[in-house]
Amino acid sequence: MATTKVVDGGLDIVTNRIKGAGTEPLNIGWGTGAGTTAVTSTALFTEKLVDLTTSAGTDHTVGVSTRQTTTTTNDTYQVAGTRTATGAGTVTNAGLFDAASGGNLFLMGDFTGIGLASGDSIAFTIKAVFDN
Amino acid sequence: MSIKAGQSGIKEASIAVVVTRADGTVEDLGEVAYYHKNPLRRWAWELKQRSRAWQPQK
Repeated sequence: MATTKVVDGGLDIVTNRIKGAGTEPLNIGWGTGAGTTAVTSTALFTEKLVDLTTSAGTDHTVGVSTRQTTTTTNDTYQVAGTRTATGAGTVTNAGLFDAASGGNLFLMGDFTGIGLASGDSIAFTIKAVFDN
Repeated sequence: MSIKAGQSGIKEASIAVVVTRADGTVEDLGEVAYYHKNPLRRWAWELKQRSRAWQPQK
């Protein structure tokens, strides 16, 4: 089942940001490994660079963050961004980090693989809706 | 006096994708991953995805 979770480390980021510390988790990464997202996840499944044949290091794409309204005014944190593959592979999961390279995982999701050739791109829209 | 902290938190999370091929072809795959704290909403989303998968391709 394709699921998306704000992970435990994401809660850490939220409380830190409320205190005015830390960095915003608007950096998008992707991976090619299999797995089911859990709240305890701390990394993507086989994270890859935009060159999907390479897993050395990270090269997150800085997205554009906005606040949106799903139910209550500004209850939704949204990040949109596009990653273009420079090497072929099948993307099976993606997530948000608080740094352009490395960093801490805020949210991730796994899904049915999307095969990409070099030059193909994925425009991601990632949302977390808060509730009271 | 009450506090609703036990019910607070992330209600919903999702990832939606639009794939653009190198030749310019655009494939809007919609929400590919989803979570809702209400299990019935999660089940409904899963059902919708399975239904879409069974529809004949145009």
